[in-house]
Amino acid sequence: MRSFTRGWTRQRTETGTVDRPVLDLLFREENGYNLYAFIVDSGADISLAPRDLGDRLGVDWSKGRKARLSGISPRPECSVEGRIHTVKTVVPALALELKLSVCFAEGDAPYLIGRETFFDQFRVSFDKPHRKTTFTLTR
Amino acid sequence: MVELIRRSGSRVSASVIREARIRELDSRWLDSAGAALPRRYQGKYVAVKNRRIVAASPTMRGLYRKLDDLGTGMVLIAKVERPVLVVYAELY
Repeated sequence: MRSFTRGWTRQRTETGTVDRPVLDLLFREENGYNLYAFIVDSGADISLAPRDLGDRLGVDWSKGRKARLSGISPRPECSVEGRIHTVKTVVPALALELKLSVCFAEGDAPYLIGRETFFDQFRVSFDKPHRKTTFTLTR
Repeated sequence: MVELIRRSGSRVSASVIREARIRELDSRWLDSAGAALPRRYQGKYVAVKNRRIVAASPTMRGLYRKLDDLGTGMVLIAKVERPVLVVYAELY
C-alpha cells in the first residue's frame, strides 16, 4: 500500500482564518513543468481548473464535453462555461503519473480536485483536528 | 532514487520529480504564510519559487505572461482566495 500525508493550507477569511485540504499536482506544459496547489474537494463531482491551464497543456478546449458551472445564484448570467477533458498529471509525493478528468472553466476558476477519476485511484482521509489529509492508493 | 509508477503511458524524468518535490517546499511555505500574505494578493493567482512570490495576477493568462517574461522555470502556482468562505458550485 502506498500512501502519503499532506498538511492543509491556511487562508484568511472575513471571520478569521480557514484551513483547506490541498494537494500539489505537476503538469507538463508547452514550455516545461509547473506545480499547482489544488484544493481537495470531496463534495465536487469533478476537478476544476481555469481554461488557461488547459490551453497551456495543449488541450483543444472546444473539443471537450460541454459543461456549465453556476454558484449559489441560479441566474444564467452568473454561470460560466467549461469543457471536460482528461489530462495527464503527476503526484510528486509518489512519483505517480495518472489521468485526471478536469473541467476547464472560463474565467478565474479555482483549482479543485473533485471525485471523478481521482477518488477512484485514492482513498482520501481528512483529519481536520490535525489539519492533514492522507492519500492512499486504491490498487 | 525516484521510482516512477506509470499509469498513463508516458514518462516523467527523475530530475523533474526531484524539482517538483523542491517546489512542494514552496507549497508548504505558502500553507503557513497564506493567512499573513499582504492583502494585495487576495483573489489573485500567485507563482512561488524559493519561498518568494515571483509573480501575481488576477488572471491565469496574466500570470503565465509574467512567468514567460521572467523565465522562472518550474514554479508553484496557487490561487489565493478572496477572504470569504468557499461553499458550493453547480455544474450542468
